Amino acid sequence: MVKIDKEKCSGCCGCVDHCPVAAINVIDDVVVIDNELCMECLICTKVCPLRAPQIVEQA
Amino acid sequence: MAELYDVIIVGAGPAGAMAAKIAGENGLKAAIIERKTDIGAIRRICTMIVNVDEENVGDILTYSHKTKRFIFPRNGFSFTYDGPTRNIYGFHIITPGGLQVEMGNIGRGKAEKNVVGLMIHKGHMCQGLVNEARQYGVEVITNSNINSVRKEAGYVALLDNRGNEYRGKFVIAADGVNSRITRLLGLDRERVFIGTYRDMARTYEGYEIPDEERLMFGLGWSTGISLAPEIHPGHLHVAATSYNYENDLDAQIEQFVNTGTYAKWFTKAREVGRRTSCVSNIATPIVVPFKDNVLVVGDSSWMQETGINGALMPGWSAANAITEAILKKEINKNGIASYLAWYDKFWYQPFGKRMASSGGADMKEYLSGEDIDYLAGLANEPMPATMNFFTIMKQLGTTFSALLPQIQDERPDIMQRLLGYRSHPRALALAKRRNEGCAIVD
Repeated sequence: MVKIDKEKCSGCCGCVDHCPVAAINVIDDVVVIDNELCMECLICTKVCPLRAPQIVEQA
Repeated sequence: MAELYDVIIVGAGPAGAMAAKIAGENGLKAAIIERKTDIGAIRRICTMIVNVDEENVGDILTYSHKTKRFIFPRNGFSFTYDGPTRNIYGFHIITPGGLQVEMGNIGRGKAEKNVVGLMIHKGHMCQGLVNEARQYGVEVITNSNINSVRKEAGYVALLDNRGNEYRGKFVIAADGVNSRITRLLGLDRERVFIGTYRDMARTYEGYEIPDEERLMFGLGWSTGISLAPEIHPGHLHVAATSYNYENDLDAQIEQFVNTGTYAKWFTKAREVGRRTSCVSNIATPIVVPFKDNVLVVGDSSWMQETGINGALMPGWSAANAITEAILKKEINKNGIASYLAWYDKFWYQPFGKRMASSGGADMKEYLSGEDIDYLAGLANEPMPATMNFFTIMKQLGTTFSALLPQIQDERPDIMQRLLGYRSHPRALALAKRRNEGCAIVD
C-alpha cells in the first residue's frame, strides 16, 4: 500500500489534486491516504516533487 | 434539509478569497470552503510577487503604502492589505556561464523607484480578505475537501470528504490549477494538456547575492532554476522545476548551490525552514468558464502565469456577476453573462487564445548551456523592467528576432538549433509531455 512520508511532505497537495478516486485528503492540515479507497494506481508517487508518497509492504 | 446559499466558493486562495469578500459586501448569502484549517498558512511553493504599476490582464494594479490598499483603477475596486511588502525591480534570466538577460536594471530601478513587483505575504492577504468576508456574514468552512459536485433542480450540491453536503444557487470553483471541480464537470475535456509541472524549493539564509530584489530564472541547467528573495528578510527561495517526473529536482538544487558559477553566492549559506513544492497540471485555458451554474475563476480556468493579479480580478468579477444574477432572478448562464464577457475580453481573447495554440517543445533539447550563454551575451542592454509574464515573453521575442541575422552570421549552428526548436511539431512535444507527466485534464 502507499503511505505518505510525513517528514518529506510539504503539504502542497499535488497528490490530493491528482488522486483519481479522491482517496487523498487534507485532514487537520495533514495529507492522508485512505487505504480503503486507494486503488494503488501510484499516480501520487509519480507526481510528488518531494517523493513523499511511498510504497510500503502491507502491515 | 441543507441550507441554500446564493453562492458557495470553493478554495480560499486569492481568487476565492476575493470572491468571498465581494459576495459578502454585496450582501449575498455565501460560504467559502477551504481544505486547510489555516487560510493564512501557504503550504505550496509560491514566489508571492504581485505585478504592480504596469498593465496586466486589463488593469494596472497598484499598491498605496499610505492607505495600505491594493487598487485596480480601471475595474474600480480595491482591498486592504496591511501585511509586509518588498520591492522587486525586475526579471532576470541567468545562465550557467554567469551571464544575464535583464528586464529591469536593479540599480537604476531602485534609483528611479521603478517597482514592477511587490513581494507580499500571500497568506496574510487571503486571510485578510476572508476576515472581511466573515464580517459581512460569509460563512467560513475550513478542513473540508470538496470531492464531488452535482447539479440538482434549483441548486448545485457539493459533497466533502466528511460526508457534508453544501447547496448553492451558484458555485465559484476557485480550487486552483488542478481543479477537481472543473474535471468533474467535464470542463477539462476541451482543454489541451501541456504537461505536469513539478516544482520544489529550499529556503536559504546567509547567502551573498548582489541586487537580490529581483526574480531570477535560470536557463541552461537540466531543470529550470529560479531564485527570489522571500518576504522574510534575509531568506532566499531556490527552486527547481521540470515537466519530466524523472528529473531529480532536489539533486539539481544541490548541484546549483554547490558547483558552478553561482556556488560563490552560497558559500556561507544555510538551508532553513521547510521545503516547499507544487504540482501543476498545465492545460490550455477553458474557453467558457461556466457549466451547471458553476463559475470557474483564477488558476482553475487558466494557467498560473497571470499570477495573483490574474486571480483577484476574476474573483471580483464572478461575485459581482452572481449578485446581478440573483437580482435579476436569472439563476443561469444568462444571469452571470457579465463574468463570461469579462473573461473573454480581458483574458481569453488577448492571451488565452494564443496560449491555446502555443508550442511545448523543450528548449534544453535543442540548446545547450553554452548556447544559452552565447545568446544571453548578445542581449547586453537591459530591457524595460517588467514582471508581467506576457510582456517578458514579448520583449524576449522582439529582442532575439532582431538578433537573428547576427546569430546566423556568427553561429549558424546555434541558428539551426533555434530553428529546430521553433519548428518542433506541437503534437510531438505534447505527446512527450504526456509521457513525462500525469495528465488529469482529459
